Amino acid sequence: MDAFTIALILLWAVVLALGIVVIALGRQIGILFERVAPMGALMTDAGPKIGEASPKFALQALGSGKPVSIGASSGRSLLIFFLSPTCPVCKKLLPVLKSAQKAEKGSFDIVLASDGDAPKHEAFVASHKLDSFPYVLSSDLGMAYRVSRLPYGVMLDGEGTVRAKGLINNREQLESLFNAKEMGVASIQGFLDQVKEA
Amino acid sequence: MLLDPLVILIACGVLIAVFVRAIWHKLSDFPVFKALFADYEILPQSLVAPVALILVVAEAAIVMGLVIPATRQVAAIGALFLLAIYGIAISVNLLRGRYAIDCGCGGSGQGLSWFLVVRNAILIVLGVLALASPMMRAISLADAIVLGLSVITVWLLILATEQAAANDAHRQYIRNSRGKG
Repeated sequence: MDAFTIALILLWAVVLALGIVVIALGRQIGILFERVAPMGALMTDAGPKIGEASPKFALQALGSGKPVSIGASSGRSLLIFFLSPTCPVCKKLLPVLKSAQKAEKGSFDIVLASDGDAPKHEAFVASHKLDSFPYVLSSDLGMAYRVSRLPYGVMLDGEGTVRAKGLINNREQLESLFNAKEMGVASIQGFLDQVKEA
Repeated sequence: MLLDPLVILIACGVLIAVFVRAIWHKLSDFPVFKALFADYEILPQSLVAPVALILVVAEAAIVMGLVIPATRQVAAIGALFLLAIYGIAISVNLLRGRYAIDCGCGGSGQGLSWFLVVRNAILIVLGVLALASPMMRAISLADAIVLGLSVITVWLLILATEQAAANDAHRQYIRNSRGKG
């Protein structure tokens, strides 16, 4: 091997390594952004907008088969919480949801929504004791709200109007959905927009 | 146009990688792809499902065509065509001011930006290179090694720039929502 060959081999190795390092750094910056502001879902703000009527769904709850209607004007607010048995953040938020269900009984109902095969979800409901929630399986529902990342929450008011929605990564973001209606602010982003206008 | 065969092979290799990933993203959640495709509002609703399927089949055909030397040039023309259509579809929506729809690029969701148009333009240049006729020369082991390493390097660059674009979208969003210039 002459010096050129060795130099070439070394340079290729360095270029490849640097490529990987750049991706890793970029990814880390991306993760920082996601931590700082709950973005992902709001970056791609498709589906029904805040203030628009929700698409209407008549679904059946898993297990009990009870009818669950979404988007109808029932007079009661409804939080649709999109989750999946394979999503760790969803599991972390389940206790918050349970306490919210007890505390907010007077003001809104909570529906858990997912899609896929029923047996997996039945096992999930059993292992996490979620029988107190209506649990619906519908890929159309997730599609209607363009849910691309989990957990995702949608808050509907008594008339079936979308009041708030967004990706939920922690308790604060979940509570911001609860408060959205009372405060008249759709999301943390909406709040930031108001601050800007003020 | 006569080009060194190695250049053509590298261009083909990168295009194959790009299209394989595109197919993978589309098929891994086809219903979501259809919904995102519908969001582009290019086609009437009734045509969305069949055209979405045609796009996936076309991309698969292009990958197959690029792999087989005899069909390489036809496939390269197909790739140019598709990349141009995607670029136009993205540009139309950017001009409409619809930045917030998901680009359907896969992953965790990325809005539209001119970066995507530039990326498509660069891929179109690669498509033109892949279209060229090769000069006659034997392919050595060194060629094969350089081919592999080049495709990997370009691939890493594509991933890194996409990540940078996604980060920049975050930054712009935060800046806009806080009203700082």
